[in-house]
Amino acid sequence: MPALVLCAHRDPAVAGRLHDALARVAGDALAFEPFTRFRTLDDRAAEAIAAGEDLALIFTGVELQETNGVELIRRLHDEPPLRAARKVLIAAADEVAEADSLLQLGALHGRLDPDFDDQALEVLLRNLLTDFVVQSAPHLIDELHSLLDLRSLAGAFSSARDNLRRLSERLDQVERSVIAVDKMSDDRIETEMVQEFDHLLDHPERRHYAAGEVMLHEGDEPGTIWILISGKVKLFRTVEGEDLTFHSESAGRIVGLMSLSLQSPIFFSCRAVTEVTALVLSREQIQDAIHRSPVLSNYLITVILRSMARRNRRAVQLLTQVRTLNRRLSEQRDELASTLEELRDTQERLIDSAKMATLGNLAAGMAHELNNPVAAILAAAGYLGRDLEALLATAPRLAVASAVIPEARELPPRSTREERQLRNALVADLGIESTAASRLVAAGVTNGPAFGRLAALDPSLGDAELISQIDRAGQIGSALRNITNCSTRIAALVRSLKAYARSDEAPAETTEINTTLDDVLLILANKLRDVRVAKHYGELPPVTANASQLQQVWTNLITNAVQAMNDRGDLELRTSVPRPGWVRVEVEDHGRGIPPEAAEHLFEARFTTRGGRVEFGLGLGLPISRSIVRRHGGEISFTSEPGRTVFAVDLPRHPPPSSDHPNDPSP
Amino acid sequence: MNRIAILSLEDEAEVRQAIARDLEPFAKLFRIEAAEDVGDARELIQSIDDEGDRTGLILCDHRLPGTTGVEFLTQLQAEPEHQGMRKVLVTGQADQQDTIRAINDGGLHRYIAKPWSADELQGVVREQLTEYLLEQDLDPMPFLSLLDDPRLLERIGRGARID
Repeated sequence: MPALVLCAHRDPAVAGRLHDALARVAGDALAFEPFTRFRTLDDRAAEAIAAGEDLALIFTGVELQETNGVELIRRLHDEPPLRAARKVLIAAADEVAEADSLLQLGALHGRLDPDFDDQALEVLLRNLLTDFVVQSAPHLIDELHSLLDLRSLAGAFSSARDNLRRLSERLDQVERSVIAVDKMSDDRIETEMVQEFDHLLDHPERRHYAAGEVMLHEGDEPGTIWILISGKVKLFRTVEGEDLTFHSESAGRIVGLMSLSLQSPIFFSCRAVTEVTALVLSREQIQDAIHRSPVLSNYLITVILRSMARRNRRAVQLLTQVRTLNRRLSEQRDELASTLEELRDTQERLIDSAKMATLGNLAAGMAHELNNPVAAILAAAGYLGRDLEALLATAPRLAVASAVIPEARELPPRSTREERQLRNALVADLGIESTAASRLVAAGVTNGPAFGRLAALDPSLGDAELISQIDRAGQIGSALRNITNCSTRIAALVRSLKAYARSDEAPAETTEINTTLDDVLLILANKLRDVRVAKHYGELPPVTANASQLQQVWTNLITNAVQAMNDRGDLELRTSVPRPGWVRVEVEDHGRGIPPEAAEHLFEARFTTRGGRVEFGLGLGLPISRSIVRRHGGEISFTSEPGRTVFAVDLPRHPPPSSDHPNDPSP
Repeated sequence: MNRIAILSLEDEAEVRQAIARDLEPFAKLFRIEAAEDVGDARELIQSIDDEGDRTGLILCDHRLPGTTGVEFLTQLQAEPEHQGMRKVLVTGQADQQDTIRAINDGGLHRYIAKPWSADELQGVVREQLTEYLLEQDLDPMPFLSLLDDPRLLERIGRGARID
């Protein structure tokens, strides 16, 4: 397809001449289309560009219907697709004043005198078409070669080839650097990069920071980038008044870039860890340098990527660490909670044991202090009685008293009901006053014949005198009896206290448990008068124990069991081997059972008496028993319901050495 | 007979006997009785009533088999016929709580701490019997020598009812 030449001129004659001349000069290498109106030329030009035709030349006259040629050329020049087309003004020299300025602007490419000849046209065509081909349409070289200036064509192409070669070399260089950078160490890249910056930006500012100095603060406005030349930094944030380091090894060599690219305030504060030298660059400087050096941008990208990759890996590490820490923390928390629980238990046990130790020491001290006076009182009461009786035996006037006192000393305990019944009977029998009868009963004179026998001892006494002497003597007798009873009771309490405080430690010996039980049954035979004892003894190995202490335990358990049944019923004793190396003793009664509220305090020491009678242990029985059993390394337990209570004592064959500590009442 | 009885309620025989001995000076003019538990005390009070006598004073231990003295005194106080009875707690073991309740609900008049002295116990008994005579508006004349209280003379001076 021939290259297109358009022409707008109001004079068809000019257009006709141009047509003919073109035909002569160019033959059919150019297609000529003349227009008298600018608008139709404009439409055709747009159509040609759209259709991909090669619009090579546009001729225009000076005077046109809607506009003039100068205006037309200016407008055509403003249309970028039409810029490639060479524009020629058909005008006489000096006809258009603006022509020169248009030429300088590059909007106009040539002028053709309306009185042109073929030669002038040919010269014009040769210049303009050569330009057109070189700049915009190299593919038309063959078609237009007869119309082109071959020398300038050759020059143009040779310089284009040079450009191309340079371009290609540069591309190669970039390509090589991309590959090389991948293999370059961080230090090497940084060195290269800093050199490149120095080269491009004429040694930009370097700043020095002392170790510990804060280079930038979290929250600062972005705008500057620090490229570290030497030294180390760490990135941190201040959280709840404390500096948390996020990156030290992973800080990278470029600081401030992320905030700059996000246009958000500085995210991490940056502190120099060692002395630091940094290149400080503004955003504009970096942009300028990158623009001028593709290698630099490659370096920069690589450094950034590596920095980001490190920070990213660090973030993942941190996250993983946080998870691990959280897990460990929650494990430790659970552990702490259970330790705390254990500590509380231990503390309670310790307090308990401290209380018991204090109580034990107090009891031991008291027991020792009370022991002597009680022993002295007991002895004194005995001597007093004996001496008094001996003395009275020498006084015939006191024969009655002499007979009454020993009786009154041995008087069996009677209930107040019994005493009243005896008194009333005596009132009826002897016809005496109720008060007098009371005194006789208290002195042990409970019937008429007994009174008669006493009266016979000293017939000189009248009834009133007799009763008075009996009363006095009875009082003396019962006072002696009471002194003996009460101090015996105190002595029993002292013994219990001493046992409780373990002041009378005896060495452990090889002990047959079944035998100790039988011994106790023998001792308690009187108490067990109305109790049927069923013995279910197992084959037991000998146990290393303090036999008398264990007997104290059995005595206490059996006495309790019998009391619970009101001294009558079935008592079961069982012994067995619950597991190797241990023996078990069970005492079972069928009494009222232990109320739950009492069960809780069963093993606590309480100084109580039962119904005013001296009972074993005086309420210390079970605490003492437990203390003894624990001292042997064993444990005492019970189950109880109305009608069935079982106390079980488990003992190891050999008590552990630690449980044999003399001053520790509750191991 | 119409005698006034002094009742001691004490479960330990030795203590009971010691109290009985301390009450001996009163035996000439008063009926002295002893009980070892609450059931026995109830029976006694009943039989004293039945025999036409009256229980004017009760000396009561606090720790008793199966119950407490305060509990028993509180029961007695709730019974109109026993409200006039003078009530004395003889104990070493009542705690503050028990004592407060004895005073507020048991109509307790006196508290004797164990161990006591004969003088102390006799003083309290004399004082309480005097109160009983005055409150019940009884003829103080027969008791003057024993109780030896100016308030009884005063009463006689004011012309108290004399049986």
